[in-house]
Amino acid sequence: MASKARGYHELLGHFRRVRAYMQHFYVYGFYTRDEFTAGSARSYDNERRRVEGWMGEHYGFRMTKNGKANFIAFDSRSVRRNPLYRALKSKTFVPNDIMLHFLILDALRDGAECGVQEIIRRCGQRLDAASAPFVYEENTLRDKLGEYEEMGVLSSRKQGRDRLYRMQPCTDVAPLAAALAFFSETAPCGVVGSYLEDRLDTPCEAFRMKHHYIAQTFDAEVMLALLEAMHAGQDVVIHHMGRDGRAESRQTVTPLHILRSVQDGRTYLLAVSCRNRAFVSHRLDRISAVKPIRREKGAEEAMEELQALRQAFAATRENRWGASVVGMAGKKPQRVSFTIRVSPWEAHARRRMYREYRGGRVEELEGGLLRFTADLYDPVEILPWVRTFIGRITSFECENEAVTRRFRADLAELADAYARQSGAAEGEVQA
Amino acid sequence: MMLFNEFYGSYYRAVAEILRQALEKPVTRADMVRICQEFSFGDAWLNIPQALTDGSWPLLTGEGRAIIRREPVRPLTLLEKRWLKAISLDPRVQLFDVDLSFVEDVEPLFTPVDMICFDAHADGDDYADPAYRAHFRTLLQAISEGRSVRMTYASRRQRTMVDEVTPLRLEYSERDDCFRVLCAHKNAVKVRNLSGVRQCELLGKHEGGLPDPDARESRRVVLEVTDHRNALERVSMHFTHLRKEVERVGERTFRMTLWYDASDEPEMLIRVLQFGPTVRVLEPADFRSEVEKRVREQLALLGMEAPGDI
Repeated sequence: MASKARGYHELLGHFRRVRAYMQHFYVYGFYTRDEFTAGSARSYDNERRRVEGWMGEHYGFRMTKNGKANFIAFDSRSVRRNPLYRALKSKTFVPNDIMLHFLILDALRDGAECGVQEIIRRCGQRLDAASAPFVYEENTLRDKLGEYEEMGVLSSRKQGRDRLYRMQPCTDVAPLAAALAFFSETAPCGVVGSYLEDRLDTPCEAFRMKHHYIAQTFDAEVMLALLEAMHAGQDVVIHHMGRDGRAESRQTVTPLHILRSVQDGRTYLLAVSCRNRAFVSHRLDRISAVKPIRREKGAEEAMEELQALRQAFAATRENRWGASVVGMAGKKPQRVSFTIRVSPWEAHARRRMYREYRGGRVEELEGGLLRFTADLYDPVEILPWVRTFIGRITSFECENEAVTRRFRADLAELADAYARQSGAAEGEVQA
Repeated sequence: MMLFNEFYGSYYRAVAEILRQALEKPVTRADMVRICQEFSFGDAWLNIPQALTDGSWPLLTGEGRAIIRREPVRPLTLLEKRWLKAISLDPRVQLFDVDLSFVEDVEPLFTPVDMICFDAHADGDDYADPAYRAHFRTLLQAISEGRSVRMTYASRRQRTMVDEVTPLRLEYSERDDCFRVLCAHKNAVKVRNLSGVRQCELLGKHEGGLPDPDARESRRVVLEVTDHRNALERVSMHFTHLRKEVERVGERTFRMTLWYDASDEPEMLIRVLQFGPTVRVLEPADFRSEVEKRVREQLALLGMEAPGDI
């Protein structure tokens, strides 16, 4: 049996090992080794070195009074391909893996259907010419054949006591080049599109992405596990982690949807808690692991229940603003309404109201006023959007008075903050 | 189903390329280094040639030829087929002239029902419009072949223009759910909404130089973020797509510098305002003045008293 090859320390066994580090370097970019508490100092150094190798020119650091702060920084509009995918192309392997990969695929390349002994014979013919001996066990080969069959690369059938393997046909993906360039950047689990693009001799360079949120790259494995559970009608135990990457809690849920925000790039799991059957939503970047659990129900019954829960959630569409499910259990939606003034030459503000109103209603009032109204379970969620109209808002009311008070208090606090800043700047000038 | 698998890794990709070249002629260590630098990253250029020559991965003969007999290829995996099937259900796939019938019998990795986008704009481009699709394909072809087009374009104010331009890139914004075409016109880069294109006729190959579509005027804004109500995380996530630098300046106070395109300044202003009192603009002065003006006007509209200095 060949020993593990030397020197590829930059590859890693489990992506979750590096996920929290990459999130910190990319999303925050100011934590030093001492401030990052999810792993030991040695782990931090190892993972940082890996990330530096993968990210190349996009990786940087600066010295702060607390130490060295590492970051990944780039404008995603200026890169043609998502560089974070490199981390997902860095899985470690042993010599048997890579040797058998090329030997098996070459041995079966002629389309023949071969049993294990014939594959061994064909591999042996090739190895006769090798610069050095390579020894592997038959069981290792059988395991690799089984693994590739499960991946869909090979097919097999039983013949007597033997199992015959055949390579699946190779599809030419060159005609898909443009679609792969686009969807590898924009579709969920886009890294799979990037894997496909890696097969192309001439990838398409026609696209550029604006407002391109790619941090969800780190959550691809979590998303895939949740999608598989949804399609199988399975419940899952989700493990949460805090901002620092440390494990915090667990919850058993029935996953229903993946909720995506294109305005700020966040992705959530929408699920039903198995404890109280209430809707719950969790950010994917805070889920550290997903473990499917066996259900007592049959698959058909589970899928029927999934459809019923999805319908119940869809019925609340007009009463939700974002991913929050606060207030949905046994409470009524609360009315929130605000009015903005729009001058005739400010078509952009009017256009923005009409394009961003989601499930609300927009009315044209006299005097160039536009009124937005919605009935929301969690009206606090709308405040950031309302604030984008600062300078135009002529009224703001919410059935929940605490929300109205918060809107006005935030505004006063914002004004105070700038007043303090102006005062300080004047003081500096006088001094 | 494994997403993180060496099968898709950059090492396998680089080794496949080395073997491909080694089927044609013997490869040297220098060839291997060059291929690894092109097809992989990190320390691959050190590790792969070493393993291929020291007997760890004896896939080459002593003369540097491949021991395999045919060009290395691999079939699509089930994961890849299921992803392609999912793509075939996306309305935007109609833009591309692709045949995905080979994944017809495969279960999609996800469906439009699985994924819900809750904050998409109501006026996204109409990908089902045959004319829009035709213009998209013409522009894609022009970019791929370096050709110019004669474009009839209606602006937002419904002014119609006819120009000969050379398309350089198709820019997509998921936030706006629209495509824009960046094109060279009289040595400058013009940006046009694809939905405004009325006619698009393919012309000959463009001769001469073209402006760089990625050369953009960059501006900088410096924010003070107070980590109240999880603001640091919200602001950091919101601006992840921009180049940024974050520095801790106090227990719960952070200084964040963002670089953005000058043409996006109005958008940046409202995006900063949405964070309310947790984000304060420090620099530049004209950006800060515009925020202060809007806050002042807002206080007046609601009959709230303005602090003296704002």
